[in-house]
Amino acid sequence: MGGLDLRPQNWAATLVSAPAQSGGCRDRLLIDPRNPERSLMLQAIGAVEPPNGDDDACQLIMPLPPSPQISEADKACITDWVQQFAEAPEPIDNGFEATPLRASLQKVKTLMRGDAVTPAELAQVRNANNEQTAMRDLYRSWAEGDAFDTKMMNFLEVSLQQRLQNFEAEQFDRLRVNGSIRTRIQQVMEESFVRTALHMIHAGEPFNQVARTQTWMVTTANLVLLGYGDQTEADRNQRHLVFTDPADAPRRLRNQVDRRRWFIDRPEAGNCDLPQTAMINFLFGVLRGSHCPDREFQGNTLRSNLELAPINPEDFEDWRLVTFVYDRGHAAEDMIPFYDLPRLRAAEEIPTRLPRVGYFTTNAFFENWLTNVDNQFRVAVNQSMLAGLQMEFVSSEPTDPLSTDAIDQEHAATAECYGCHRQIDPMRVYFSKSFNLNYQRPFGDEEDAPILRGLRPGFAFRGVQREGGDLRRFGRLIAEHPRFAAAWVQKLCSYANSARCNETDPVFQGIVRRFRNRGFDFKTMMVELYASPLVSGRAELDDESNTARRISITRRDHLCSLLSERTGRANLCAVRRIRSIIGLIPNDDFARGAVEATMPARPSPIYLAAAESVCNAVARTVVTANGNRYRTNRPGQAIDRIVNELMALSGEPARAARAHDILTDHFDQAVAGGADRLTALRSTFAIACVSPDVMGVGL
Amino acid sequence: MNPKKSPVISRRSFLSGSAAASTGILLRSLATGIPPALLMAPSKINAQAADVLPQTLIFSTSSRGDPVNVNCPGSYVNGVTNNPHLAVNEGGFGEQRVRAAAPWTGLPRALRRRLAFFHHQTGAAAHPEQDLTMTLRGAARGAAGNGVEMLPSLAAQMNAQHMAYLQSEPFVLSRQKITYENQPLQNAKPSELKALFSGSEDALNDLRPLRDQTLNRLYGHMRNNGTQTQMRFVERFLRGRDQARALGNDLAAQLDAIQPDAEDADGARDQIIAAVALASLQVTPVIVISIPFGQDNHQDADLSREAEETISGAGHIAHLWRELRAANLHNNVTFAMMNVFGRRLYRNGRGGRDHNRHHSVMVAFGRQINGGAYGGLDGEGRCRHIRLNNGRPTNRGGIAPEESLASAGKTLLKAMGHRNQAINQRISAGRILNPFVADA
Repeated sequence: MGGLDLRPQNWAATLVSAPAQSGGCRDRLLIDPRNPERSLMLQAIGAVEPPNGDDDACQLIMPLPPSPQISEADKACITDWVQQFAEAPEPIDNGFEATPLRASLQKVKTLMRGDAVTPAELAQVRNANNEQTAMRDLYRSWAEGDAFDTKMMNFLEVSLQQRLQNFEAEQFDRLRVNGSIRTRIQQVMEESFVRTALHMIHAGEPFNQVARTQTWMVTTANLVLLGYGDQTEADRNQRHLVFTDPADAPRRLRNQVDRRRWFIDRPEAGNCDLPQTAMINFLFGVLRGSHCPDREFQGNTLRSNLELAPINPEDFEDWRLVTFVYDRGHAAEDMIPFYDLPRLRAAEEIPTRLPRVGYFTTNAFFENWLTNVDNQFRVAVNQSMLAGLQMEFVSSEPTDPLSTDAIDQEHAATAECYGCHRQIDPMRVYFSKSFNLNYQRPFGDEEDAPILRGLRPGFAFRGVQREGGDLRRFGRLIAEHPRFAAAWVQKLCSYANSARCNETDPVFQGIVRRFRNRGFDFKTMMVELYASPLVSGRAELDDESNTARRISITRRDHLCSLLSERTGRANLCAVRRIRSIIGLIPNDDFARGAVEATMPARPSPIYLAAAESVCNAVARTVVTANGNRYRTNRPGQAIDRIVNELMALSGEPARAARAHDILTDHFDQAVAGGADRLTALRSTFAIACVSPDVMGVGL
Repeated sequence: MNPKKSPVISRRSFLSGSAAASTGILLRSLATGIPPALLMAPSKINAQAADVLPQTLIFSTSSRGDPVNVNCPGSYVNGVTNNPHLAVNEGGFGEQRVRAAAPWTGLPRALRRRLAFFHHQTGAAAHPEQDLTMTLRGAARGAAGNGVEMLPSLAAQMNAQHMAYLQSEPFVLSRQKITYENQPLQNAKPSELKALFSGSEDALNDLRPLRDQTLNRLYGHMRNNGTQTQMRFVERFLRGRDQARALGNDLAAQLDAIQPDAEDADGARDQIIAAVALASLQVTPVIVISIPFGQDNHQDADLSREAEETISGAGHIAHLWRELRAANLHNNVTFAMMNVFGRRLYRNGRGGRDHNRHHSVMVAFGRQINGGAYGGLDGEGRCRHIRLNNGRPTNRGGIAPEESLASAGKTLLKAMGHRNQAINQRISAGRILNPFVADA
């Protein structure tokens, strides 16, 4: 057939049971020995349809049209070859072992809160008639409080791509802040939409609204940052005067704003004349020498702390829900300027001429996915899909746009390029209709001007085709996309297992179906998923070979929560001696173009060396001469706490007793060897801290 | 769902291949000075014994797009604007006599014999395109033949097929984002690495051997009687700890020269020290660092920073060379530097230099590299074709500018000791430039 010799070099062996890498097909095998008709190879050549037809996430076709297609005779030949190979599969015995109940519960509690499972909680599930129901009840009770919120925020920050990867600050025409103010700005940028999503989860609101909500959790500082980009050219050309003599400026901030005559108690600045584009820096306490005649500042910049700057520390902490009312034609008098702090502090609604709809229009998202004249928002489009639908563009995906006018023919010259550009290019117009390349309101005729003028936006992705509208339409299409539910079950399942879950598994599909049918209630989906065999490992799945429930290393966010919860010391990782080394513990992360989040799971030597250093530092911090929790004059009691709380072994009395004996031996030997009791107890703590029960999730 | 089943793999057979071995490996490593990675996978060494062993790679990269292409050998042609502050000399690089800025021609002769400059174009014009450049604009394919891989990660995967390392992923000492199988790798500062392995003299650290014993006792039962998943994790965990111990003994001494409080803490100097230490212990096939050569110099009005950092950058390369020689690694380690793009060969309105999608340069040295300039640029600062028979620039034929980036990647892999067939399987474009490679 076609001159292709399938026999040499045991080629088939490299295809059998080999997982596919293509987008949407990662749960498929190139040749599936158990279900040959599901072999991706056969689908790719057109010999079989995708298992779930047009709804299937995997729509791979090769070669791409309009290239010549494989003949029917060749398809039959390859099908026979695959069947022949698959006819005599060895029965695969995975040696399934149920995860011990305590390990299963502790894994989920580590994911949801960080603290140890109690004997009562273990008994509640162990003695129940229906284990899964009892797990769900227990997990729902864990889904409250600060510990849970911290964990969810870490998850959402990565899943919604709000964790800052860059801070070029082009959308603010460069922020020149540094030190603690910079840290605060980054923090509110990262947290704003994450808190929005968390609010939805607690309120039981449909979680798919993360793609279209215009009601966000913000601080006043957020409103300044979000409002800066929403300026006309005339706004930008306004001037502001800054005085250091109180007699030259109005006393009340309200009047300073109205008259654009500001006061700052920094006599060395003299009088300054600022363009409005420099005002965002001024609000955060930064003056440039070039705006203050006859003054020379070190490094050409004069920085003030938040006690002196117009923005104050409370402006970073006044979290509340604010609704953005979008109308690109808002009259100037309806707008609240970004520097109008008094009105921003009191606002419940913010008129905006820039759409602030969903996770893909936040400052943090834009900061992460900078675009340029060549890229033209394609990165923002792609990342929006990855964050919302956890699926990338694939050239063979058959959904065509309703119009091809917006396709960049230069970029889409070849079939391979065309396949993706035909979908991405019309979508970039959703962004270009509202934003310039710095993610600001477009202005002028040059590089800050609007691009792609005259083109009509279109959405074509995985079976959904629409045309027209603005970013609100784009967000609605993501929210209502058939893929949304599966994407978020997969995100959470991957988070739990540090590996993808098999989306073709009936258990997975059932959870997805119910998530969608119950109005995208995230918390209900979460407790159902965590109690299911996909995460619990308490029962065998239909295809266990394709589901990896790993025991993972405890990554940074998990470790910090765990240590704080189990030692009773809040924000432990912020302690200087721990902060300086915690960076060597890998964290969850995301990357440009990557479908899956990064979740290192294996214990490398570097990780273990870092874990040991962290644990020694934690031991020095929490085991102290005057501390109450681990008292050197009562080592038995302290070791009890170490075993039951830190190692979380209270649910396994036999292991706990053995661990207690061994750790007591260690303490005694250390003292006998000449160590003082404090050092001996710290050493005992450090062993428990660095043990697989603490440094592993799911053991 | 099926009912629960009992395990089918015997614990004894599971343990025989792993657990008992780790302590022995550690002791043998300490006794012989041979890296633990080698002791753990001698079969990989034997498999390659009759052939050339691949070179460990120290790879410098930056998304800032430094003007390293502007003043190096091969860049002094009529019509372009090189740095006005740097003296220009003719120097010997391999068998070639080439004009270049004095910091390059003043490098040690032994280094210049194997120091090469592969002129190419990355096609990138924006900093975020660093990922694209690192994947050779999509030509560097994933190990399974689909998807893309960054060049340093691809090199690491190819090396790891033939050599034993503690980890198969690159180790990133700079702040640059590098992905491996599309997942970002962790970045580790040299000072953090030093802090990790230096160990303090306090009493808590004195008790470390006792803690190791205690931890072995704590998990002795699970090591033999847990579920398979538990046993596998605990085994890997305890073995990793032993590897960390073996690593720490040597690393601590080698990282001693790093001064965490120095003005340029964790800068190129420290990264080089750490890179050589990691290479000597065969921790990883590829170590990623970043050597500044003028950085993002749009605003460098008089090009003084470009001059200063060309001097310091070449100095860092000389430092790396000296460190490698001192560690007797100069025949086992290849160095390469490839950035997101080069800089224009003329100045912008502010006096600095803007991004140049049409010309960049890969700087490399290694035992299997013939020193010299390969390819070149025209009077407008654009990359020229490269003759396949001698590496000289030409106006047509040979390696076209559009395939020069992938060709640079392929040629680097060849110089690291990999075979043409394997290289061509992983990089789908470009050609190997044989004159670049010694004994090709």
